[in-house]
Parts: sequence; C-alpha cells; structure tokens
Amino acid sequence: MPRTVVEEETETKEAVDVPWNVVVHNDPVNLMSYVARVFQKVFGYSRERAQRHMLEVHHKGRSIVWSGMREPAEAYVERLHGYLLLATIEKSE
Amino acid sequence: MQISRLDEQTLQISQLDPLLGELLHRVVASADPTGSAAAQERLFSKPSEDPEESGFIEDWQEYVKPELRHLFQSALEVISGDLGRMRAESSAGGSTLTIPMSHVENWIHGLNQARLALSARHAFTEEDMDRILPLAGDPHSLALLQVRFYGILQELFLQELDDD
Repeated sequence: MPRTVVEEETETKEAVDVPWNVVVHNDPVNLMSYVARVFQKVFGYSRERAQRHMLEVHHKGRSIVWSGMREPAEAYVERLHGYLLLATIEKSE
Repeated sequence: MQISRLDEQTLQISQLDPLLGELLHRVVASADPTGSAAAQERLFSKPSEDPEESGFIEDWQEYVKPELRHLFQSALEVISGDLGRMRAESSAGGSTLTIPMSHVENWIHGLNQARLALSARHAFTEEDMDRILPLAGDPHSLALLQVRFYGILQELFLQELDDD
C-alpha cells in the first residue's frame, strides 16, 4: 500500500502575517500626471491623495502606496506593472 | 498640430506635419523592446528587490510576464489600427488622425511604453529629459524628440480624459 506523503508547509508564519508594502519607485520618464492618474485608477484614491503619493515618489524616490496582506499586495504590483510603473513588494518594517 | 473633439466619442488630431505624422507612425515600433536588454528590463521590471524573493521573481517571470506582454500588445494593436486610418489632408501636406475616445487609454499606454522603451534603449538621463532639444539628425536626438513629442500627446490625452 502506498505511503501517504504529507508535505510540510513551506511558507513561514512571518511571510503570511507580516504586513507587506507596495512601493512605487521614481523614474524620470513617467509623467507626473500619468502616475497620479494610475494611483487613482488602481487604488481608488482621491485626486489629492494620489497627487501626494506621486509627489513623494518624485521628491523622495519612492512611496509606500499600499500596505496589507501579501496576496492583494502582489495583485496591486501586477496592476501597477500593467501601467508600467516601477513597483515592488516589500516586508513592512 | 491641433487636437479637437469631433463629437463626444471621437478625438481628432489634425494639421499633423509630415515629421509629426512620421513620429506617430513610429510609436508601435518604438514601443517594441526586442533587441534591447535595457528596454526589456524596464518594461518587465522585477516585482521585488529582496534577494530572498528569487522564487517569487521566477514565478513572476513565468506567469505574470506573458500576461503583461499580452496586455501591452493589445494596446499597440489598437494604436496600429487607428494609425492605419490616418489620412492625408488636401492642403499643405499635413494629415489627420481620428481616435475613438474608447481608444484613448490604449494610446496613453502605448505612448508611455514607447517613451520608456526609447529612454531605456538610449540610456536617457533626467538631464536629457530637461535639456533643450538638439537639432542634430542623429538617432539619439531623434529618439529624444520622439520621447518629448509622445509626452506632449500623453498629457493632451490625459486632459481629454479628465474633461470627459
């Protein structure tokens, strides 16, 4: 009779629980108005909030545009890449 | 060059001189990153900077990148279709392009893709973006002219969507 192999959970508790940040990085080509519009479309942010994040990207080189669970964070990064923004996921400190 | 609304559903770019018409015809080819590692890298950037996320990045390359490629290609096909309907004006050698408002998002995306691919391919810096355009006829200067012109169009299209 074949033995049942129980696979061990490979994800650590930390990877599941730690909040994740979606970070957008500056690049000199994307237009500021375009970046702000993408934030409104992807996250449903108000024009003011979207512009605040856009200006943070422009002046500080990066902005944490969203924080939360890993899965939606990955989905947001994918959508931002769909708009050709430089976006990454990182663990929240 | 003049941008106007023909009606609620249609945008028209008229009085396009031959040079601007030619630059528009180059949007699709310019957005193609083939043959440039820098352009490929920029259009398909990594979703994480963490070395510990190498497995996630590999999965991304395998599953997400093809979806993004398809998405980008779709926008360029819409642009290509519109450009195929560009027509010559009777006077002064100009041309007119009509764009359905439902295509404007695709145009904004395609112009952005072309700007990013050209900038990566020619390694343009932030200073390049701000400096006065040289009148030299070399490929580098022409690419910079394209990036600037496509940026102006992007801004105009974004304003049209804002007004919509």
